[in-house]
Amino acid sequence: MRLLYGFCCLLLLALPCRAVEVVVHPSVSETQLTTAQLRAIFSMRQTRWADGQAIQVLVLPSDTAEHNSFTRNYLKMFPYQLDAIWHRQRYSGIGGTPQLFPSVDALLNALEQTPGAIGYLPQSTRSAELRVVTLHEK
Amino acid sequence: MKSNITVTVLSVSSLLLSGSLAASDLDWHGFVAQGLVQAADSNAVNNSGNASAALTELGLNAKWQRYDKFKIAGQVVYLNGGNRYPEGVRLDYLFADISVIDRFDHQLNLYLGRYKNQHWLYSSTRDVPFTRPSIILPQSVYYDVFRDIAVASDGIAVKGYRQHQYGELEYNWSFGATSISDAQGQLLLGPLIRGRARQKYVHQASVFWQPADSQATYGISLLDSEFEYKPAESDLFSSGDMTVQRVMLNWRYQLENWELAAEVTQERLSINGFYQSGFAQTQFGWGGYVLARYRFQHGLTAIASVDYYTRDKDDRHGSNLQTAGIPAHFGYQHTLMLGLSYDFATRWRLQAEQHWVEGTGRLSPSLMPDLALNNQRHWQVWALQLMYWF
Repeated sequence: MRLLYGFCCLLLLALPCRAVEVVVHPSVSETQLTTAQLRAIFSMRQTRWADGQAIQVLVLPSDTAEHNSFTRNYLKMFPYQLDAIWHRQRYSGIGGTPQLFPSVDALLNALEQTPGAIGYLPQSTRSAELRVVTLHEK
Repeated sequence: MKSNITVTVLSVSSLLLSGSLAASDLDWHGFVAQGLVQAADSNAVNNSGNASAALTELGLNAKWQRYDKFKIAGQVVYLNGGNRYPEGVRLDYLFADISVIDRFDHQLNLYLGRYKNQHWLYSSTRDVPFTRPSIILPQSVYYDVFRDIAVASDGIAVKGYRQHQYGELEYNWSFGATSISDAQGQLLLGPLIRGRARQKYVHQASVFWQPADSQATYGISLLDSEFEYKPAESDLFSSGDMTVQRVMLNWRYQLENWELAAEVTQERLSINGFYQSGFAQTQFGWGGYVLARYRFQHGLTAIASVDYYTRDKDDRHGSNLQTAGIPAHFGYQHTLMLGLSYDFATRWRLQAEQHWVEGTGRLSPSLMPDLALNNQRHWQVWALQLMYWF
């Protein structure tokens, strides 16, 4: 049992991830999104919500545990792949890039104050102002 | 096609002058890169073969979006790549971007003006140092002499994405042409030309497919282009037409640390005239590369590629060239490349690579080989480049 506990602790330490959930500003009516839809949004290709409101994508730096967890678990991608897509969009002029925030607190604050915003937060960070979006697997 | 650019530039200018573009609508970025490069036994970089600082790339791009479905984007670059492409400032792209479909499962954009080539794995980012995998890309597909012609064209383009439960489809179509400067014409055809080369049109289409829950992407792209040469009054060469047609398959597989990419192409080159009136030749070239990257921790990445190119698939060793007095090694070019890149700070990268090359089939000029400077079958290139982007 002790061996199993030790193995689990090592496994947790080895994983550079931190459980996150996808959240949106209350002005957004969507409550469920698929992986493909999240990819389209975070790749900055989908720029409007279904009601026509502009999508505002807010993220943490690519090397943070939260961003790592989000890209792997929700987008089924690696952070460097998303970076490459953003670089391609930005430097070939065909798309935008997300708004970057240096800390979870700054991201939380911006999500609460930006209509149309979507981002992610650690599961331990609760906000009554934001709504959680669940992953809908078709 | 020039009129498209003129219209776009005038449109941007009038918007700026009318004050209808607010500062908050403007998004701009750029990059600076400087390096050292040497190809001792060929004219790949310079005619002397000495180490050179001709590895300069400066770029500034901007995007204006005032309206929901309409934006304008452009990029200006300064390049000094020695013999690889003409030195100087160029407008890499400047286009109006119109969002036609913007749904959750389907996005489609229309581009008017000088649009960027989106049809190959690295065609849209080959002009930005830190977004391409190596300093010098595999020449079978990304032939430096064609850089300006391949990066962007003046005309119309369409790009779409379709999300489906079985995967994601990216599709591209474009039709346009690129104006060829005198310096560009000399790199392509030879330093002795006195007339003007012109691209009549380039028509391209491509499709990329990534299955759901897969880290692999598969693609196919098609290219059809025609060029013409109009000689000067006293010219060694005759008027001529050249047709280039490409079929290319590509594949990319991305894991946490490993990334593999490959493109294979068959290129049909048909020449009528040019060398002399009545000359006619059609040949099919084959090319392709496999490129691997491994990401270590702390920003260190190793890269390796194997590149294969033969000018004529029916004469893969260049034997037939010898009957015309041209050494056989002008019929092919095969390269092994090893390199390292190190992201030592945010937005800073140092990259180094070494190429071992056999053959000179992808050196300039393309149609009139430089027999004096490229007389070695085996040659090497090393390059070191420091880059910063913002």
